Amino acid sequence: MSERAFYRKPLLDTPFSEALKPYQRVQAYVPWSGYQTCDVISSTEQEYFALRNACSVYDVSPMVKYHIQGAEAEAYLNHLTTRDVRKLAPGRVSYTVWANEAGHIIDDGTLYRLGEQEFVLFTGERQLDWFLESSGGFDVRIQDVTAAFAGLSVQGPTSYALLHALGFTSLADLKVFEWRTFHSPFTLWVSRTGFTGDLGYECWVEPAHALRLWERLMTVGERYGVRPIGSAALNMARIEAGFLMPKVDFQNAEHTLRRHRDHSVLELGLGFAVDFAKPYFSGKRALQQEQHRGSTRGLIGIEIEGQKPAHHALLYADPHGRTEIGHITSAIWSPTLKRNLALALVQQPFAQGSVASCPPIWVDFYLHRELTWERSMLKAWRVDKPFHRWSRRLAVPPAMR
Amino acid sequence: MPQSKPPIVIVGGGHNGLVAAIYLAQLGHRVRVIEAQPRVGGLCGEHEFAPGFVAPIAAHELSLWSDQLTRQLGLPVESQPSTSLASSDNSASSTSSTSTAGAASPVGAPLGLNVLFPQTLQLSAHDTAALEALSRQLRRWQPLLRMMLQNPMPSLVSAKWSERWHLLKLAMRLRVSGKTSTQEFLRVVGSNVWDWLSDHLESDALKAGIAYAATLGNSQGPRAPGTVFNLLYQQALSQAPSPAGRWRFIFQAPPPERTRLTVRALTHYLHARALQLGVLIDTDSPVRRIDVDEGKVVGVTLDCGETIAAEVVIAACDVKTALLTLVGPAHLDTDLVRRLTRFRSLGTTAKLQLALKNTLPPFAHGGAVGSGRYVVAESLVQLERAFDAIKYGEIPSEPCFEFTVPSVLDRSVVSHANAHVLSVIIHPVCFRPKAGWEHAGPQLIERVLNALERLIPGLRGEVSAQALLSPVDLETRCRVSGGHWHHGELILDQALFARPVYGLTQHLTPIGGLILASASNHPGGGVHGLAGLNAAKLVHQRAPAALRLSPEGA
Repeated sequence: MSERAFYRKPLLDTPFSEALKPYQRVQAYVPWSGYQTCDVISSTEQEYFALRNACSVYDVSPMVKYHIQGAEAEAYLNHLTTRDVRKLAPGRVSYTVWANEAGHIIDDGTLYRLGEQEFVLFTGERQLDWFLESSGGFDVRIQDVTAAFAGLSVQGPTSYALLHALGFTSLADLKVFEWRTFHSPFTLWVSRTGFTGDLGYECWVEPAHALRLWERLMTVGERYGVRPIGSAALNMARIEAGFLMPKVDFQNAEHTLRRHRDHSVLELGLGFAVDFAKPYFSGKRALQQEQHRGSTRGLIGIEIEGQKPAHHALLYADPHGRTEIGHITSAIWSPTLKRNLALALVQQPFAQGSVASCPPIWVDFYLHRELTWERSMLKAWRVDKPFHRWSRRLAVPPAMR
Repeated sequence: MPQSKPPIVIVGGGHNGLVAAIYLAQLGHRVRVIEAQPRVGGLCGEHEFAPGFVAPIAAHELSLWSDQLTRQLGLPVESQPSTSLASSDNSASSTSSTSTAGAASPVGAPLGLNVLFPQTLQLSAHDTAALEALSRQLRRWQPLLRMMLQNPMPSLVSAKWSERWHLLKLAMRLRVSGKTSTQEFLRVVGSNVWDWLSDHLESDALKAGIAYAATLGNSQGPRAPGTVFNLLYQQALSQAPSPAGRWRFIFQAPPPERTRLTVRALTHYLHARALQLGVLIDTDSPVRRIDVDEGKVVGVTLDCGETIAAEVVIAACDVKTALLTLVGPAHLDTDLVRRLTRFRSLGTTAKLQLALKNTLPPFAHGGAVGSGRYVVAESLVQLERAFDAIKYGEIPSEPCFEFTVPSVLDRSVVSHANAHVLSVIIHPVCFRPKAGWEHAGPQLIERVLNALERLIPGLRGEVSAQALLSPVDLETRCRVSGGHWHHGELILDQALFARPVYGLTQHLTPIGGLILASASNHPGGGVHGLAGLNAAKLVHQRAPAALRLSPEGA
């Protein structure tokens, strides 16, 4: 693309934009790291049910990708991220986060280990500035390769069967958080990862082959109930799975201006991804101190009475709304679980201890009905997160239908 | 009972390192100083740049060094590197000043700054009165500035009452100077020295001399915001002698300088005092790294491979060398590395040393060259243009500089009876000229010599040897990042609460047991030893385990 063309369109097309057009019943778009992506393609509910009951295809090409290579790439990533990269074997993927000196999250992503000294880090937003600043003193080369790979996330109970039918038969023994390369008919990288909590794969190809992959998936996929989906349906699935969405459930600490609007890795419940036993990493001192003292807030899952999702509602410790304890970051009515669910950031003691010991929570709920706001205090209670575990997510080999 | 604790290791034997070593040794600590160069002194050191001629490497005047510190460290109070030649020279200087008294009186040390003018300045009645008024104004701010500069800055985020009390005391100090004075302080402290001086004074040469002092060590010219702060800084710490009251403006040449300490003598006394107190001093021992384990200092490793165990390491080298080179970014948070990387520390000052073989000719106006610090900057425009040139990687067409003649006070720096050494600080120059120092250097020397020849006719013919130390030379020689004399520019955004960078303002680092004690720290550059002193006090007061910074925002 010439430089001029690059600036003509404020948001870029992905390699799948043209291919998606015939499927689009509505023109609902959202920007995603400089690309225009579909929020809804036909109907959010139908797309959601395709994801949970059959197979969904979601365009993940705008995922920002960094190729990280060098003699000290492992040491560098170990310093940058909170997980122990030394334990990540080639051929595997890990979910990881990175934090600033206060232990406050900057972003999360998935790290693919290609070889001893070679990695690709996938993340939602551009981070090159932070990555380069972190690279001082390390023999490492970091390159943004976002446009070099187009990606489709194939998620749902029939996703394995579909890929098997396409000829990727060796995926049978691929476990969650592993990736594999295929070379026929073109190079394809497949990882068993996703943002849905369901059985699913993410497939990466060079943009030149993107449409061939698309056509094969769509043609063969007809028998497997395949359906392209937009980010609205994906968002429902990810809340059910308890995954955090950047800019929704947490703010990049580099982007917040006000005190306490950023979040520590521990209070987001990401302690599982922090390895204190490894050498120094960005934020270690602060996180160690926080672990010692205990977090003052926490991100929890709650269930609310009624059926209306309580987007952004404030939470109280009493039904009169006297003591504010936090707010809801993400909310949905879960069609699969038939529960009114939300992720919420709350003060202690609501986030500590077991779910059963958590005092009741009251949701200050506003509903706009026929041009009038109706306010009610809804009862809510803390529940386990993720809200549901799909056993097929981990099954090896996955079911063929 | 013999102490089993390892000694306190001080990395860097510059004046701050030695001050810290002496202070701690006096209190009974075991101290080991590790210096990369063959001799201690760092930027206060000296070298024989030509056979029989010794000149200071960098610092050549001691106007910020206080007698109080001399006494505190047990250094010889009456420092008299006296020779008959020196005293005769001084008397010549003072007679010349008295003989020309009257209409063409030379202006010495305006505003208590250690600045002399090599040319004859004729001050109007307006300027004379204005200087008096400015001096009075500055005197009112003196207690506040001294309080700010002599102690570590209080933490702005700490909830400790001691820190808040310190802040409150600073605010009260300012307020007691009077309402108008407080308003004026807050108005000018962030403004530029060009406007401020032009508001009060008429003589361009006088303004240029003062502005030169205000911009020293920075890469921004007299029109840059924050340059007034630099002036206040130097004025506040200045120990320049003032015969008629502590902070009165001096409208005379300085008094006989026989009792004045030279940089050379100071370094010598510090070295001797440290040895006397049993401080181990390793010279020629460059440190390869400061060893860190589990976030704590465990020792230092030398270039030769030797490892020295330590619980406490005082890094008396600049902050970038200490943290980015010797500790390494792998042990630090990215935010801190980022702030350190952006700490501006490219040197803007070069040193020219001149050997005069037979005699030191008098000034063009007839007066003899004394032992003071003469500033050559004829106008504010010339000074600003010089800063313009360095922005574009060029050598200023009319360089601004200052010079002293160390051989006037101390005859031991030359081996011949009538020989002299001229020490010239050229400021500003750019760190890396586009043409490279191999081409820019001779050009710069030529321009400085031409300017000197105009002031001191016949000087060029006397020059038998010369040596130029560019900022690049100083960086490699003294292991200072960017070869910066102040270990980083001293301007408002890199001063006080923000020096060297946010988070490191109280000598503590995130690495347990690692203390910073250089001019990179508050209060900054100049030979005053305050950074070393304050760091040493901290080390003495706290247990090694408590010598660490608590995490940010946690």
